[in-house]
This record gives sequence, C-alpha cells and structure tokens, in this order.
Amino acid sequence: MPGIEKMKLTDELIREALQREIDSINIPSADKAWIGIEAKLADPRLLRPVKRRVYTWYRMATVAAACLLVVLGAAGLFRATQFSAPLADSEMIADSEMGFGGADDMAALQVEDLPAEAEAPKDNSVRIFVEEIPPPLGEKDPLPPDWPLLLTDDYALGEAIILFAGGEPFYQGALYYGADAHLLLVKSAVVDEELVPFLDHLGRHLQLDLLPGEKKEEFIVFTFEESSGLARQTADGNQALLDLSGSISSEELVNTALTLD
Amino acid sequence: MEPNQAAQLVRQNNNDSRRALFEAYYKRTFAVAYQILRRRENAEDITQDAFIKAFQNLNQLQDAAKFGAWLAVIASNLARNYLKREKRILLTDEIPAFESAESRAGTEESALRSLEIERVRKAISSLPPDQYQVVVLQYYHDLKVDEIARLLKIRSGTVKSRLFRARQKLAAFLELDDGSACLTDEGGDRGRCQE
Repeated sequence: MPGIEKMKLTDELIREALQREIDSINIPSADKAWIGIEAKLADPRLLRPVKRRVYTWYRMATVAAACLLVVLGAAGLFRATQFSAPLADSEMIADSEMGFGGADDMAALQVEDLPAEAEAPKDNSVRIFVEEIPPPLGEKDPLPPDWPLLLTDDYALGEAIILFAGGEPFYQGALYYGADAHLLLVKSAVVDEELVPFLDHLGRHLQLDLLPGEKKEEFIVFTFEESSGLARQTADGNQALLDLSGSISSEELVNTALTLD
Repeated sequence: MEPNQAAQLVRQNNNDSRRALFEAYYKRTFAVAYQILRRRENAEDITQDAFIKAFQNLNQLQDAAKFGAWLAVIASNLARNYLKREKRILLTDEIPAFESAESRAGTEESALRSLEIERVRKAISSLPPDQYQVVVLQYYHDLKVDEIARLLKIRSGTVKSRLFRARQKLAAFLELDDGSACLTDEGGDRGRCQE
C-alpha cells in the first residue's frame, strides 16, 4: 500500500491510536455500573474485600488438628470417666452414670480380659496426640497505617492485621495476595532495634523459626519452614517481608521489597 | 476532566464528587480493562471493582490530580490478576473497525492517516498487559517515566524497558525499521526516533 512503508511510529500516532481505541469500544451502561458501585459503597457488608481463599498448609493443619482435638478430647474424657472409679465388686455403678450396659456389663468385665494398652493411665490424665497447632497470623487491625494498595504490580493488599504479644498488639502487618504467591509485610514501631533480636521476637509472634542468613542489599535474608523473607532497619522501625507461599526466590523478594521505598 | 478539577473532587470525597469522578473516568477505565481482558462482562466487573477500590482508598492517593492514571493502574492490575488467576488468554471479541470522519471525507491524505492509525491501534491491542499498561500511562495519561514508576511502584529502568519493548513490538507488528523503536529520554520526554 503506497506510503505505508514510510510510516514512522511517532508518539502522536500512538496517542491517536489509543484515543481511537477508547472511542471505538462500545461502553456498557454507566448508570447500571454506578448503581452497583453506590450499593457496595453504601452497604458495609458488601464493602468487605473479596478474600481469596488461601489454603496454606498451616490453615489446613489448624482445621484438621482442631477436628482431631475435639474427637480425641471427647474420647479421652470418656475413657477417663470409665477408669476413674475402681472396679470393685462392692461398687455397682448405675446405668445412667456409666452410659452403657450398666452393672451387669461391669461385673462381666475382668481386668485380665482387657488388652494391655486399654489399661487406665495411672494419673488419669487424658493424652492427646495432635500436631502442634499453629496460631492464626493475627487479628484484623482496626487502625491500619497507610499500607500501599499494591506491592509491585503483582500483589494487591488483602487485609491489614495486628500481631499480638501477651495480649498486647505489637506488630502491624499487611497481607498481600498475588496470583501465585502471598506475602506478609510487617512493621515494628521500635527504632534502633538490631535485626537478629527483631527476627527472634517476630518469629515467636508468628510461631515460626526465622533463621537469619546472608545480607542482600540493605536486607538480611532469613528462612523459615521452606520459605524465605527479608528484614531491614529503617528510620521508622524495622520491616520484614515474608513469602508465605514459599514460591518466590530471594532475588525476586528483594526486588519486591525495594519498591517499598 | 482537568487534573485540578479531579483533584478537587478527590479531596471532597462525598457521593456527589465520587459520581462526578465516575462519570468522567468510567469510559477510559472500562477501555483499559477491556483491552486486557477482551470480554465485556469481565471488563464491567473489573471496572466496578476498580472504582470501588479507588473510592475506598482515596486517602492513599498521593497526588489527587493523578486520579485518572491511578485508577487506570488499579483497573489494569485487577485485569492482569484476573487473567493470571484464570490462567488463560481470553481471545474473544473482535476489534471493531473504526471509520473515522477523515476517511469518510475521502481525501487521500486523511484516508492514509486513518489507515496508519488503524494499523497502530491493532498493533497496540497485541501488546502484553504490562507493556500496554505503561503505553497507556505515557501516551494517554501523559505521565513521565518517573511518575509511572512511582505509580506502579517499580523502577524507572523497568518502565523504560517496558516502553522500549512495547515500541519494538509495535514496530515489528507494523514491519517498520529497527530505528522506529526508540528509547524515551530521561525524565520521560518522548525522544526522537533514531533513524
């Protein structure tokens, strides 16, 4: 086509093309869209941010362990009540107290009939075999600071939380959700605190062993579970950025953290 | 809408001012989302979500006059995240052909110009979302490189790199010379094509 081969890709051309692009799009009804927006802004229930379900291992473990705790606790209590009274001929326990069989069954039950592992524990304690239940990360922060709405262009602010120590709020945090990874950004209000004790203290809050490692740029890289994080000192207190999903390299984490400046 | 006007409305932050901002920016915000998603219903949802997010976080906007660009960033990020979650490219709606007044008027020069613009428009629609985002911010919202970097919370070098790759891609799509993909100057000036 004549003249086309001489076309120069000028800024003006790009600008006009973009304007034409926007003009060409068939825009749906603005009124309908505004009604939806107004309704959501007016109704606090609808204002709750859409939380992407994060099925991290510790949340699943928490649910599983809680169910196991209920089941084992009930079973243990039941067993404890069975063996708390001595099996003596002179003591006939009423049906209602036993909850099963009753006196006839008790009379028939001989200790030597029971397998060894069914013997009552000597101290009547209930033994629960359950994995350590990791606590939730924190509670919703009622007065969050100005967390960035976006962390690079891959992570959007999900929720602001507050981490407690001994019942007192200590660290403020923000959870960021991306398509393949989730980050926790933590700020401490304590200034001039060394990073190693900061990580130790933070780790106890999170019930994670945060192991300091090498230095990268102005950060200390630390590891936990099979994931990593970064910590640094700032004029306003220490900061930490944790990769909760274990899917980001420390280099990517550094690049993400550098955008916080 | 003039930036000063937008800034005033942002500062007011009441229902009327939000409605005025919505009326002013709805079309271009929808266009940004649509350009990435290429599906009307998804773009409608993303546009709504972008406005809601913006209105809920107006206090985080550092420069109220840049509301339009900030909103475009929110919408494009939401759209990109949606694409990533869905893990598919939504190849749908055809790009409607645009018949400009010039081409209808019939002069050869204007018809040629219109054809060039149409070619560039199609080329822009082929850009990946991250490059499209910076192209829109620079050429449609007239932001400089450092302003784009601040808004997207990335480095200026990354912005320049994306702009350069976008221009390279456009030049390749349009089958132009290598010199047509020129770097922007420091500070965001458009720069001259090195030909």
